[in-house]
Parts: sequence; C-alpha cells; structure tokens
Amino acid sequence: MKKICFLILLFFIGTSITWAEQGRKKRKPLPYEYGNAVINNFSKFEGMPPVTFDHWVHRQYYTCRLCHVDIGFGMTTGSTKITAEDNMKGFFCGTCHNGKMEVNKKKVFESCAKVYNREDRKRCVMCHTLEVTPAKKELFYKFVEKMPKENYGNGINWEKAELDGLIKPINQLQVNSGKKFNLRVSNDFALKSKVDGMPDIIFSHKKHTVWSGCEVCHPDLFMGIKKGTTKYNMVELFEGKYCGACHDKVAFPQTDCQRCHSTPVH
Amino acid sequence: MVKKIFLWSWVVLAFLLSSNSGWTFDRSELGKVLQAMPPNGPFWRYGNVVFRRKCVKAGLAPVVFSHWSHRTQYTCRVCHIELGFSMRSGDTEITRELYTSGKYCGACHNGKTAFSVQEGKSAQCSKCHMKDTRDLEARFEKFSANLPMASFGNGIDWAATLKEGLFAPKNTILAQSMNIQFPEKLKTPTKLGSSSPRSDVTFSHRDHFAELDCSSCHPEIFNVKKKGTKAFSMELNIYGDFCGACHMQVAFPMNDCKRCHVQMSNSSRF
Repeated sequence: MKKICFLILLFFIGTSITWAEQGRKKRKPLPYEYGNAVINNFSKFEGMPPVTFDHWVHRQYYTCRLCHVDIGFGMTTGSTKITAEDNMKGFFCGTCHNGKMEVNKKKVFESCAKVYNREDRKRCVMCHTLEVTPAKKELFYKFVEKMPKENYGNGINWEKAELDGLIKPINQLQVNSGKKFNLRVSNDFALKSKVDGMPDIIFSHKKHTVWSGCEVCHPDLFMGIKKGTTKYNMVELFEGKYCGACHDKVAFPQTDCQRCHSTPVH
Repeated sequence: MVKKIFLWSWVVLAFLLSSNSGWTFDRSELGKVLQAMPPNGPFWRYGNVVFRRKCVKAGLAPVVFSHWSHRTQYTCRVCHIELGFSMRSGDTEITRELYTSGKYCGACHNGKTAFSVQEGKSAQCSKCHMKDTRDLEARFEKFSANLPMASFGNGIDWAATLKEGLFAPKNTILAQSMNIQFPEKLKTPTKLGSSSPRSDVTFSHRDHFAELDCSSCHPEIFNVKKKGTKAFSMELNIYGDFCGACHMQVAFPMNDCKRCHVQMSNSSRF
C-alpha cells in the first residue's frame, strides 16, 4: 500500500512537471542576461551570494576556446566545481584574475581570498552578486552602442564585431598554451535540410574556428572524421545536444532560424 | 502510516495545482482575462496592456498600450522579435533610459515614424501615460466604425481587413532583413484532430507565418517533432498555454470557437 501511494505521488509530480514544460513560452532573457551563468556550488555554504558570470564581458577580450579548452572550464553551468582555493592558486578564474594581469592597460582584479576586510569585500561582490547591478546594466548598454546590432541573444552580432575588428579576442595565453601553429581551416559546407523546401544550412568552419578552434566541438560533439558520421536532428539540437551545446546558451540562439538556414530556395 | 502518506500525496497535489507551475495563468488571472474579454468587456479594451507598477512609482499615469492601434501598421514579429518585446507584460523591463535612447517604444516613437517620446516643448506624455481612457475609447470608436465586424475580440475581423487590403502591415523595420523562405511542405493546412471528429481544426501555417517567425512558436510552445506535442488540450489553451499564448489576449479569442473548429454546429451539442 505504501508503495502504491508513493507511486501515485510520483505520478502526480511527474505529470505536473510535464505540464509545466509544455506549450509555454519561456521568459525571454533580457539582452544583458543572455549568456549569463549563475554558479552556486559552494558559495552558499560560505555565506556568499552565487557567482553571476557574464559571457558578454569576457568574450570581448578572449575566444571561447581559451577558457573552455586551455583553462579548462566545462560547458555546462556549475560542472567545473570551481573552489576559491583553485582561484587563489591560479587555476580557473585565477588564471587571469590574479591581480597582476593587464587587459588594455587596466589591471584585472584579483579573485578570491582567505581573509578579507570591508574594502576587499567590494571586490568579492564584483562576481558574487545575486542580480545584475544597475552599474553593470549601464556598462552593457554603453558597450552595445558601439557594436553591430542583432535581434537575438545579447542584441550584438558578435561574428560581425570580430570580423570588423571592433573586438579582437585573444586566442592564447602565453603561460598556458605556449605557441602553437594553426591547423588549416576546413572549407564551408552545406547541410541538407530534412524538411522539404526548408533552406539548407551553410556551416562555416572558418566562422567557428575563430572562437572555438577545433577542440571545442571535435571529437566530443561531432566525431569530425568524415561528413555524415554524426547523425542528429533539430529535436536533439533543441535539447541542447550538438549545435545546441553553445547555440541557445551563449552563442546566438537557435530561434534565429535564418542565421543557419541561409541558402536561398530555388 | 499509510494514511499519512496518502494525506501527504493530496497535500502535494493540491499545492501543485494551486501553484503557478501548472498553468500560465492562475485562476484569478484567468478570471481577469475572461472578465475583460468581449462580450463581458468592451471591444476597445481587448488586447490592451496596462503598465502600472513602475509608472505609478515614478509619479506618472499608467501606460495603456493598445495592440489594435499598432497591428494595423506592423506584424507581430516586428515588435516581438525585432524589437525584443516579451510576450508577457512586465517581462521586458522597459525603462525611460531605454526608450528615450531609441530602444523598445523609442525605435518608432522618435518623432519621425511616430510621435516622439523625448522631453521638450512638444512632449506628449499623456498619449501613452493616460489618466483616463476616454480619448482612447473615442479613437477606437472612430477607428473601428468602417471595419469588418466580428462578434469577438476587438469586434473587428482582422483577417478580413488583411484580405480586403484595408491594412498592409510592414513585416520588418530593419534596413536588411533576412526572411526565411516559407517551406513548400507547410503550404497545405495541417489537420489537427480533436476529441470530437466533427470539430477538427484546420491549422494554417501560412496565415501564422504572415505575422510571425518560426521561432515565435517553435520549439517552446509546439515541438517540431512529429507527435512531439503532448498534453495539448482545450483546457490548457484556455489557461494561456499553447494557442492560448496569443489567442486569449491579443489574437482572436477562443470564445470564437468556429474560427478554428470550422465544422462545429450552432447548437450547443457538437
């Protein structure tokens, strides 16, 4: 009897979750919220607010692969389980946020400390914040002014910004990667669409390697040995697999259909 | 012990049903929607959105936004995709700084396309921040006088106005707009079965695509997987899920049964 009751309970919870997931428009993240990750693995135990990491601040200066390959950040929020100790020793955030490194002749503030006073705490709350502060919002809108516009995501066309030289993201940190030679970039190719009359996708290796190198996608997401080895469809993409690993979370969202389905239909 | 677990399961169930997690509207919100919906409410009010909280805080009269005055000029996607307005009021967090710097309302209300939102001699704050709606009502009266009649929603048959060419709403305000080609396969209307065979729905992708983008509905509201949309029911629609996301508050409301269930008979038994 106990078991039956438990099963009934599970059933109700299950159905209510499926209801909640279906048929509803999710709240659209605001331009300054898109790509933000709220990390709360250990902060709460230390009595600190969670870390709100904004991709838009960082991708102005660095490519994706620098953090996600060289420094070793995972691709899903909270998966890296970064501790303050790691940062203090110069891993993860601490790789750059060490109080020594400079970007555009401005010192990058130091992350995490064992002991801190009232003055230092102002530094803590630069990352440990519950919500986006008004000052940060203002900073964002100031930055957007200078950038090429876009309907989706941050409202910034990052691809064009990089292409036009408005931002020059650094791809390697000397300390970490040393000097590597670049592999030859593969050509663009078309991916046939499965729905009749839906424009084909033009996939550009070049546009992706600027940010992600080879390692972010190959071989984990796409085997990348021969075209057609990895089979996938839109449903899986919407579930966050394959292209969905970045697109919808940080890179422009998949709801921007035309960005990929771009071949004119004859 | 068994009794206790049983009791708990009911408590949890009651909580789940009463909390907002189950529906888009809770019961009181639905009540408000139904109260405002003609024939219960007046035609001019259907599709209006009132922004009260922030305005009152700033010492201004609330903004009354009317969809009917905007949809003659622009399709839904212009504001809800290109300008970034959310589909639920209050989610967009529009501030004075934003619209005076040309975002959201300010994109068109710049003194060129439409009246300006800027301060100054010719400031027209009261055009949106309305102390009372008498002027708006009068404008609606004049506006709707010669338009094709419907008994529901705004009392205007919007589909007919488009068919007769009374309005030609712009589909983009961008200098360069990439619009996706409409897939051949979707040109024939889709038949959606209902529990009563005579009231099947014929869904036209084409009519929706004229106002919206694919991403307005897919994949959040309707999955793209065949038979992937589960638990799609009239009840959920009425509570603002699925079709109800638009067809309860702005697009023609769902008390206009025969607009979708074409073959439904006039008698109450169908």
